[in-house]
Amino acid sequence: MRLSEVIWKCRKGIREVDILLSRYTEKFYPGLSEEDKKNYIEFIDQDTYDILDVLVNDKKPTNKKFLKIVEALKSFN
Amino acid sequence: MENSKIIKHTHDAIVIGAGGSGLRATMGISQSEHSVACISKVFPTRSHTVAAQGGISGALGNMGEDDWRWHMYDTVKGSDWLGDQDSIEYMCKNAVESIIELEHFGVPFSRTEEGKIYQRPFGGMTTEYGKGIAQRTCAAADRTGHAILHTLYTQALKNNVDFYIEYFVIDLVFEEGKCIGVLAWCLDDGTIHLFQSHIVILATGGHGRTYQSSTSAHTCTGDGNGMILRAGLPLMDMEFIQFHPTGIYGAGCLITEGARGEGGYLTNSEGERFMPKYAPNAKDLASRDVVSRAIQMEVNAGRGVGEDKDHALLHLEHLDASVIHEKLPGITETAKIFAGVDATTDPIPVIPTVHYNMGGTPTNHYTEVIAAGDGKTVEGLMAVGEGACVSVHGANRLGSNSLLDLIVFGKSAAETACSLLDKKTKNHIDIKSSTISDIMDNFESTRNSSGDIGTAELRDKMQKTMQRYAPVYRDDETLKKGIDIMHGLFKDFKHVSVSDKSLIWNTDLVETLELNNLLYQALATLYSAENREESRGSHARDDYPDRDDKEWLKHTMVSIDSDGGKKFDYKPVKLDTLTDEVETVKLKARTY
Ligand SMILES: Cc1cc2nc3c(=O)[nH]c(=O)nc-3n(C[C@H](O)[C@H](O)[C@H](O)COP(=O)(O)OP(=O)(O)OC[C@H]3O[C@@H](n4cnc5c(N)ncnc54)[C@H](O)[C@@H]3O)c2cc1C
Repeated sequence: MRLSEVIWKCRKGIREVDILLSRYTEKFYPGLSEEDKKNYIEFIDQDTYDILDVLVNDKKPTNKKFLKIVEALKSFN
Repeated sequence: MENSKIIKHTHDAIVIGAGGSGLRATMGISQSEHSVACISKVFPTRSHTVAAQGGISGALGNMGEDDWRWHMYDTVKGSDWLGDQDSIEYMCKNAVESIIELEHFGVPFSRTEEGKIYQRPFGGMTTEYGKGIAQRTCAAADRTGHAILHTLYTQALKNNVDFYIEYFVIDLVFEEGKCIGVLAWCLDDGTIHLFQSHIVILATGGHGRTYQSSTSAHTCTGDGNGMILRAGLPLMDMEFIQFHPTGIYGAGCLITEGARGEGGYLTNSEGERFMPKYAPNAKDLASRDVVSRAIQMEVNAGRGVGEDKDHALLHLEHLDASVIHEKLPGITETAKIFAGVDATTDPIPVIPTVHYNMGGTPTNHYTEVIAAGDGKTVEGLMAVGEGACVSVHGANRLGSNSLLDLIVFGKSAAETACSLLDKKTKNHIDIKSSTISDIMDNFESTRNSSGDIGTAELRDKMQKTMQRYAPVYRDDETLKKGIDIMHGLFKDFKHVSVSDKSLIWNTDLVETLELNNLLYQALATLYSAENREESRGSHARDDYPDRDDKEWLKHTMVSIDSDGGKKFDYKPVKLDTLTDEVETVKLKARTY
C-alpha cells in the first residue's frame, strides 16, 4: 500500500488515534520491512476503539504479531 | 479531464456523509421504495460520530420523573434563546421515540439494575424548569457514538443501500437553482463520478479543524458547508462555536463532561474550587460555555495554573478508582499519555478547546436547506447533523443534544425526502455540460496549482489565526485584525502548491480541497463574529458584554463570494412553538 493511502487510513474518527497513527506513519512507514508494513496495515485496519484501547487504554493487543507495532507506536509518542 | 470520462449514476436520493446523521437518514430512506446511495470520504464507522462518548439525551424518565418540556426548556435556555423553538420542540418531543428505536435497532445501552436504560446527569440538563438536576443522558458505556454508528451501518447494509466509500465529494451540482446531484472523486482509482438525484442530503459534519486546538478528528473539515458557500448560498450563525471547557492542555484531547457528571470539579492556582462563584446551583455541572468562560475569567484574573498561568485543573482523584475505571474508562490513560498525569492521584491540566460548531447550513425542521432570511428553501437540497443549523442549539449546544439532533433530524430528513419523492416524477433532467465543466475546471486548477505555499503551511496559518483572533472572548479590534489576516490567507489559496498531480490516493490534493472548505468557513466565522455586537451563549464579546434582544434576536446568515467578500442577511428567531402542547419559553436572563 502506498504511503498516501496509509495516511488516509489513519483517519479513524477519534483525535487521539488520528494523531498517534498519522505522526508515526508519516515518519516511519516508508522504512518498515514488507512484513512489518503488512502487519501495520492490518493493525490500523482494526476498529478505532481496539486501537485506542491498546494505545491509550493499556489493553493488550488481540494478536501477538501487533506487540512490536504497539511498542513502537507507544515509545514514539 | 473530459466530461465524457465521468461515470454517471442515478438515484432518487443521495446522502453525503455516513456519520450518525447521514446513516440515520440513509437507513430511513432505504426502508421505502425509493433508491438511495450514501457517499463517504472515510469508511462509515470511521466518521467522527465514533468519538462521541458521553451519550444521547432524551426525557425517558428512567431515573426519576422527567418531561420533554423540561428538556425543551433546558435546550432553549442553553441556546441563550437563539434556538428556534419549533425545531427544539420537535427534537425534544421526538427524543424518547427515537432513542427507543435505536434500542430496537440494536444499540447496547447501559442499563440500571431493573434493566431500564441507565441515564446520567449532564451539564445544563435540569428537572422542573431549572429546579433540580436531571438524569437524562443515555449511554452505551463510554462508546455511545461507536455503538450508534455500528448499529446504523449494519441496518443500512441489511436494506441494501449502495455505499460509495472513500469517495470525496467535490461540489454540489445545480441546474436552474435546483440541486440535482454531486460530483465526486473516487480516491482509490482516480475516477470522477456524477451522482444525479432528485434529493441531495448533506451530512458532512462540523468544521472544528478551522482552529488549532480542537477535539476534532482529522476528517472534520465541514466540506458540505464549503460547498454551500461556493454555491453562493449562506451559512447561519457561524460565530457560535462551543469551546469544551476540559480539553487536555497542549493536546486538545477531550476529558468528557461525564467526568464532572460523576463528581469531578475544577480548581484554580489558589486551589479554590471556583465554579460555585459563577454558577451557584449547577456548579461544575453548568453548561459548557459557562464553564469555559469561568476558566478564562480565572486565567484573566491571574489565577491560572502552570508556568504560563493559562489553564485550570480538573480533579478526579477524590473519586473511587473503581468509579473512574467503570464509569469513565480511558480517562486515566488519556491523561497519562497526553498530559503525563495519573488522574487517580493528581489533577488533570485542562483548557477550553473548540468542540462543537453550532452554526452551519440553515434548514427548517423538515431539514430542507434555506436560501435566505425569508425562509425560502432550495429545491432538492437538505442538510442534517453538525454541519446543519436547524437551529436547535442556537448560541450554545448542551452536551448529549448533538447525538439527539443527528438521530431525530436524520429520521426527519428521511421522512421529508420520501414524501417529496412520492410527489416527483422519476425522470432525471439533462445536465448541461458547462455545469459540470465549471466544477471540473476548478478541481483541475487546484490539482495543477504550483504556487509557493504548501497546504499544511497555509492550514497552520489559518488555524493559528482562528485560535488567536476568534477565541472564547472576542472584541472588535482582535476580530477585525483576524478578518484582515484571514482574507489574505483566503487569497493565498490561489498560490497553494499541490506537489502530487496524480488522481490515485492523492491525499495532498484531498487536503487542499478540504483546506479550501475550511478557509471559506473560517472567514464566515470571523465576519459573523465581528458583525454580532452582543454577547450570547458561546459568543462572548468583551466590548458588548450583554445580550441584546432588541437588535440581535436573529440568526446571522452570511455568504462569501469567490474573492472572500461577504454579504449578510438575517432570519428571525422562531419563538413560536410548533404545537400548543407546549408554550414558548419566554425570554429571560440566562443564569445557572
Ligand atoms: C470527542 C467528542 C465527543 C463527543 N461526544 C458527544 C456526546 O457524548 N454526545 C453528543 O450528543 N455529541 C457528542 N459530540 C458531538 C457529536 O459527536 C458530533 O456533533 C456528531 O457526531 C456529528 O455527526 P455528523 O453525522 O454530523 O457528522 P460526522 O460523524 O462527522 O460524519 C461526517 C461524514 O461526512 C463524510 N464526509 C465529509 N465530507 C465529505 C466529502 N467531501 N465527501 C464525502 N463524504 C464526506 C465523512 O466521511 C463522514 O462520514 C462529541 C464530539 C467530540 C469531538
